[in-house]
Amino acid sequence: MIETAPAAVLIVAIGAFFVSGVYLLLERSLTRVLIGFILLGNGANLLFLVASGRAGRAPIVGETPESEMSDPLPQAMVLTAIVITLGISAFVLAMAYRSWQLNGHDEVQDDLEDRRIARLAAQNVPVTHDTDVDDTSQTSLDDQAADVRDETGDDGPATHPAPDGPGDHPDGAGSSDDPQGARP
Amino acid sequence: MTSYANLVPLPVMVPLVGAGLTLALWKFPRAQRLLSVAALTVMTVVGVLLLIGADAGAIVVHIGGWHAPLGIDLVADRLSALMLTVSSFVLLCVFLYSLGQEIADERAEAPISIYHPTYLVLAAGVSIAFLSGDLFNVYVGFEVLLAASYVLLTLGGTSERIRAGSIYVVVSLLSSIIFLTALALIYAATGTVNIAQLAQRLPEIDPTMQLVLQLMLLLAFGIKAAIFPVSAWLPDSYPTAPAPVTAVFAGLLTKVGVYAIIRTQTLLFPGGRLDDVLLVLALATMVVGILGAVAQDDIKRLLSFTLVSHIGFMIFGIALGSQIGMSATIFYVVHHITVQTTLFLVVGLVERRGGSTSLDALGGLAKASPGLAVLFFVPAMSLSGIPPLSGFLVKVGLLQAGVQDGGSLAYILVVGSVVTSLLTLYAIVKAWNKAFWQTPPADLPDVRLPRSMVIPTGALVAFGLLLTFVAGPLFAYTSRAAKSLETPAVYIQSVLGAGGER
Repeated sequence: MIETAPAAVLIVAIGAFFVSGVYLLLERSLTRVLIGFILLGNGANLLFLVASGRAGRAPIVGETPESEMSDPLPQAMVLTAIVITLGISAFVLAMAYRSWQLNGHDEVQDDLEDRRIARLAAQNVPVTHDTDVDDTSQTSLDDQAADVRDETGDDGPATHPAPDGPGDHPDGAGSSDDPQGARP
Repeated sequence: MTSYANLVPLPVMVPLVGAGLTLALWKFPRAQRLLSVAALTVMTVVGVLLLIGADAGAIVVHIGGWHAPLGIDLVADRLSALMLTVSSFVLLCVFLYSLGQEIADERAEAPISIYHPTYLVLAAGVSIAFLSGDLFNVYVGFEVLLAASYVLLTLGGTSERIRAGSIYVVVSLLSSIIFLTALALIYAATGTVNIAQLAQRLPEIDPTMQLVLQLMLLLAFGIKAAIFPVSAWLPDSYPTAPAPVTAVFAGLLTKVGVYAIIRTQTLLFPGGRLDDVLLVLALATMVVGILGAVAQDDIKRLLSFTLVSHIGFMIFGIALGSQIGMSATIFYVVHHITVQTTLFLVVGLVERRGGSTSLDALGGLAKASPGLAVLFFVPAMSLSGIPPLSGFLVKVGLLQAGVQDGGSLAYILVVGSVVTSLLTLYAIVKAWNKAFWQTPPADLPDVRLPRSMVIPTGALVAFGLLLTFVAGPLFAYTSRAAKSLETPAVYIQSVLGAGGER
C-alpha cells in the first residue's frame, strides 16, 4: 500500500492534467490553448514517471546499490520533453502576441477560404468564372457552340461572346487584342 | 560496411552544424548561401552513398559507442536510405529555387537571416526521423522538424500567415502530445523505446494494450500524414506560406508521417489487425480529398487537396500488407515527394508570372510562357497517372497489389483509386485550362521568370521523368526494401546483433 501510494497520487494528478488540458485545448484563444498544451505536456511527463516504476534513489553507480536505483531512462526522456515543450511554448507565445498585435485578439480562426467555397456551393454558383463562356445568357448549348471558335488557326477563344447569334467571329480580332501575342 | 557506418550520422550533423554557422553568419548572406548549399549537397551525396551501402544490409551506428538496447542507434536500411536520398535531393532543389527567388527579389531584410538556419534545421529533423532506430528519438526528430516548420510557415508574420500558422501549430501540438503519451505508455508496457527491441517485446504484451498503443501511434502519425478525418488542417495552412516552403512541406512533412506509419505497421505491429480500418480510411482520404480539390478555385489550395487525396493511395498500399503493396507504396512515396514538390514550385512560378494563384485571375500562360506550361504539364500529368509517367507506374503497382489481395474491400479500393485518378485528372485539367489556355481576364504583368528559379524546377521535373526511366531498377529496390520490411527479424538482428539479446 505504502509502496504504491505515491504512484496513485501521480495517476490522479495525470488525470487532472489531461482533463483540464483537453478542455483548454478546445478553447478559441491561443493563450488558453497554450496553457492546455503545457498541462497536457506535464501530464505526459508524469506518465513517464509512473512508467518508470517504483521510485528509488539517484541512479549513480557507486553511490546507490543497483536494487535501490530508480530507472534513469524515463527521467532523461522527461527532461528532453520539458525542453521541447519550453521551446514550443515560447514560439506559441510569440505567435499569440503577434496575432494580438495584428488583430487585437489571439483567436484561432476558421478556414475563411473554405467558408467562401461552401457559401458558393450553397448558392449553387460555379466556383470559377469562365471568361470564354457566356454563362449569363439563356442561350442553349447549341447556340453557344456556334459562337465559340475552334482553337485552330486562332490565338485563343473569344474574350467576349458574340452577341449577334450564330456566325463566325470576326477573324483576326483575337491576335490584335491579345496582350501576350508579342511575347516569346 | 564500416566505412558506410561513418556516413550515417552525417545527414543529421551536417545540416545542424550548417544551421549554427549560418545563424552566426547572419550578416553575410553570401557566406550563408554558400554554406547552406554545401550542407544540403553533402546531405544528398551521403544519401546516395547510403542508398548503395544499405542495399547490402542495414547499416547500424551506435551513437557514442553504447550498444543498442542502452544507447541510441541510427539505422539506415533500404527504406530509410531511399527516403533520405529523395528528401535531400528535393530539399536541395527547393533551396536553390528559394535562393533564386531571394536574389531575384533582392530582399535583404530580417526574415532571410533566419530562413537559412531554419531550413537546415528542418532538413536535420527529417533526417533524424528517417534514420532513428529509437522511437523516442523519432519523437525528437518530429519535434525538430515541426519547430522549424512553425517558423517557416509564419515567416514574416503577416496576418494571413499567423492565422494559418496558429491552426497548423495547434493541430501539430495535439499530435505531438498524443505521440508523447503513446511513448510513455509503450515504455510502461515494455520497458524500452528501442524500435528493434519493441519489435521483440510488443507481441508479448496483452493484445488489448497492443491495440491501444497501435491506435495512438497511428493517430499521431495520421495527423502528420493528413489522413482523412484528421486532414482538414493541411489545405488551410499550407497555401499561405511562401512557395518554396509550401513545396518542401507538401513534399516531405506528410511523407515523414507515412514513413512512420510504414514502420509502425510492419515492424512494431506486424499482425495487420487494423488493416481493414486503414483501408476504409484510405478510401475516405482519397475520395474526400479529391472532391475538395475539384471544388477549389485557387490553384494552391487545389494542389493541397490533391496532396491529401494521394496520401490515401499510400495508406492503401500499406494497409494491403502484402510485399507488392508495400513495394508500390514506397515507390509511390518517392514519386509523390518529387511530383508534389515540383508542382508547388511551378505554382510559385505561375504566381510570379501571372500575378495570382486564383484560377479566375489567371489565363493565357501557355502562350505567354510556353516553358512554364511544359514545367507544369509534365508533373501534373504524372500526378494524375497518365502513362508513361511515374504516376501511372505506381498506380498500376498499387492496383495490381489490390487485385492480388482479392478481398472485397480491396476491390472497392481499386475502384476508388481509379475514380480518384480520374477526378485528379479532371481537377488538374481544369487548372490547366484556366491558367494556361483561357484568355487572360486582365493583362498579365510583364515579368521575366528568373533563370535561377526555373533551373531548379526544371531539375525536379527532369528527376520526375527520370523516375520513369529507372522504374525497373527502382521497383526492384523497393521490392527488396518491402521484403526486408516483411521480416522484422532482419531488422532486429542487424540492430541488436545475432541472437538478439533481450
